[in-house]
Amino acid sequence: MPDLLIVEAKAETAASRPVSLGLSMTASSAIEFTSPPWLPAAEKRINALLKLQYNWDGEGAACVSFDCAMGAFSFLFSNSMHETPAPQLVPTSAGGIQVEWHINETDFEIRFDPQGPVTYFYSGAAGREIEGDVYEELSTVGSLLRALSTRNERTQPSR
Amino acid sequence: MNEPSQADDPSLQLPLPNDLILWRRVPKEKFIRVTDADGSTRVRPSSDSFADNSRDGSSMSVFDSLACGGLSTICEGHEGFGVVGLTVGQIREAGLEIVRTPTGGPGHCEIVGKKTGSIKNKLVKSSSWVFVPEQTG
Repeated sequence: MPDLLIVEAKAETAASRPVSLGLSMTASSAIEFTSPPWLPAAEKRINALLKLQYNWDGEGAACVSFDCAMGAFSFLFSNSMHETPAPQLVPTSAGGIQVEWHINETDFEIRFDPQGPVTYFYSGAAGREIEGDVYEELSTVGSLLRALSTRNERTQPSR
Repeated sequence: MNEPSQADDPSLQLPLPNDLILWRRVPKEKFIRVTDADGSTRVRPSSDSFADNSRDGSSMSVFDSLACGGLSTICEGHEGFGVVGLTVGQIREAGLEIVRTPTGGPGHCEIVGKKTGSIKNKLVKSSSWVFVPEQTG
């Protein structure tokens, strides 16, 4: 069996939700080199979000959708580099997950909704704003994600 | 179950001047950390804090700070929530409308209009913390 990062979705009965992503890493040297170090923490956070109960926001928020959780994790695993700064994972009231970075006056958000496409919003330091469909503009999203690593380095204190 | 109507709430007749401060509850799950240019960090609400109500599709809820009965009233039953404030004028500048509603309690208002990523981002940046729960930092 090849060395792969295995995201094992243990879909149990609806009553037994939240579902564990059951992330396990079988580390090959290539994956150890390219995987961002925050990936296990992201998995832990997603698992916590899946445990949120209906109305967690006091305004009737839905439970976080397992499909959105998997979509967010899969996106991060496929598109992040070792240098990509750690994202913040926020539950949406619609039952989705918003992946966010806010670094050095740049805001970058990717929204996984239970209904509708995966969308993104970017706001740069110079007031430049872009929003759209992630999978229709994947090269743009990839460029913005890579640029975050550079911005993050600029905010790190010199060692 | 329908919420009881407060059609006789006197605040329904009050004007909505641009300098009136509106309060919005924010659950702790939507607190995020922002890193500024100098490397310092601070906590602010996620842009999804300014989304419409997912339960019934109604518009985003806010409270008139002068007519809602105070922070303790709107935070009752919402332990761990923070509250942000922004003015009627800031909301109008973002291209949205504010209407008072007979449901949701005294001073309850809704913010009507399409909330794109750009508009939610404007609301985030216009807002400021009125109350932050302990152990947030």
